[in-house]
Amino acid sequence: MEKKCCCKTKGKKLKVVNIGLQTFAESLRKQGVKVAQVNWRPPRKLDAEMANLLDDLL
Amino acid sequence: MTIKEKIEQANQKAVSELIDANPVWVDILPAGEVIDGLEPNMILHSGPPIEFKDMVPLHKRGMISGALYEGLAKTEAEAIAKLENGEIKVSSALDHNTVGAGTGIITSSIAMMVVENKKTGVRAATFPAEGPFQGGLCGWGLYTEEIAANLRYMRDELFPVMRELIHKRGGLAIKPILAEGMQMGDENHTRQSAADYIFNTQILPDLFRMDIDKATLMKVMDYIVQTPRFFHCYGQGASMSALLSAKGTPYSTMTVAFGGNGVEFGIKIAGMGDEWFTAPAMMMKGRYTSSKFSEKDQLPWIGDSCVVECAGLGGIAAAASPIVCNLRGMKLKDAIALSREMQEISISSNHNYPIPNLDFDFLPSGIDIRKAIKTGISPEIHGGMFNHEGGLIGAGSARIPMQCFEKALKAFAAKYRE
Repeated sequence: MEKKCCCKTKGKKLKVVNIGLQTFAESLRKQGVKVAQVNWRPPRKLDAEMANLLDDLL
Repeated sequence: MTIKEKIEQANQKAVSELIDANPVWVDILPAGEVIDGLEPNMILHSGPPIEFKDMVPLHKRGMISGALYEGLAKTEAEAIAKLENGEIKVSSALDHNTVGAGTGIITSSIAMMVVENKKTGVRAATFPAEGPFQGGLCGWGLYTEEIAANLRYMRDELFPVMRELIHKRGGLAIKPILAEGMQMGDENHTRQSAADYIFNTQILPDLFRMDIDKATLMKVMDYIVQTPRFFHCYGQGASMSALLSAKGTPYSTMTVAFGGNGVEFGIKIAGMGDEWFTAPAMMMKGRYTSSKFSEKDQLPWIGDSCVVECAGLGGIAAAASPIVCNLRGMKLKDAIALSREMQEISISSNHNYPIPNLDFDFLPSGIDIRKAIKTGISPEIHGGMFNHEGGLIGAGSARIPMQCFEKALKAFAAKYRE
């Protein structure tokens, strides 16, 4: 018996928003997928002293 | 007003000194006449202050070369003894109104190009390239009879003519040349090919109109046209005269000086006067001139020419020059991404510098140490790679150590936090 696909995107043209690592976006583009890239990186982890200084000064 | 508001206001004031600066080449003078605090028995060097005994061999060689050239010592042994006992003083170029590109060896009789920021009257002096010897004494710390003779030839035969020319002309505005050059593929640190051509079209007609003999005219023309990256000293002078105008702005967290001495790299910020914030000097990434070189051959960052980045050119302007990025194996999109990334740590944008590859968006201007710390993004600085003996072995870029910004912010908080 054929399994029913639950993926709503099957057969539809993909449009992807990629957040962060650009290589994911590039590999999708190479496969002909439309990709909007959002440049993002995880917030820098600061030590407590620096974090306090930035809270006060920025 | 809260401290955050005071900082915002101060940073807007400081960055306006960069954006609104009007640097003009006005003169050529001996270093001793134009550099504040340069004493006859003093030799300047690049990077943060360092004692002679702690210098890398390249800097030590430069110091000895400077002493011999200036007549402060007759032999190398005498120069070393006087440098060690303090008879010959050493001082950081960036603690004066000048820039120590490369080794940054400056003595009182070296002829300097004088750039005046007409908005503030602040003057900065930078040494020009030494014709066929390129870095020669001042940039590379070399001393031979030929190099010394060429420096004297420049000072005594070429520069009196150029000085008369620039006086008659009433100066040469630098900013329009920087701006036009960046529309034509320069980023004004590693590359100033376009700026060189623009400079030539402005200066050479005036040279040819001078009432001087043809042989002299040809000598001056050959020097200007045949010296690679002739315009580099003017870009540094323009940057320094603007940065010095911003220095001393209370409450400002904007950087006003970058430089390395091969041991440490240091920065200054506008709100902290002449205080240095240093970290171990970093290595560069880039391309070597030969496959026989690798990072182990490379001297950690030495030189102050990265004042151009501090003023918003060079690595900050990477998008203006995909040619320079290509030298390092990068693509146009990488160059664009670099300049866009620099915007994240900048206070403003410089409307004088719209860049075609940025869809005519303006270049970022004024590095804010708070934003660098928060984002973890450090300014990208371009430069040449030296080996330990002082040879140029490649070109590339580096990121300023985050420790410099963190030290600066701690000191800033100790001074200003209410």
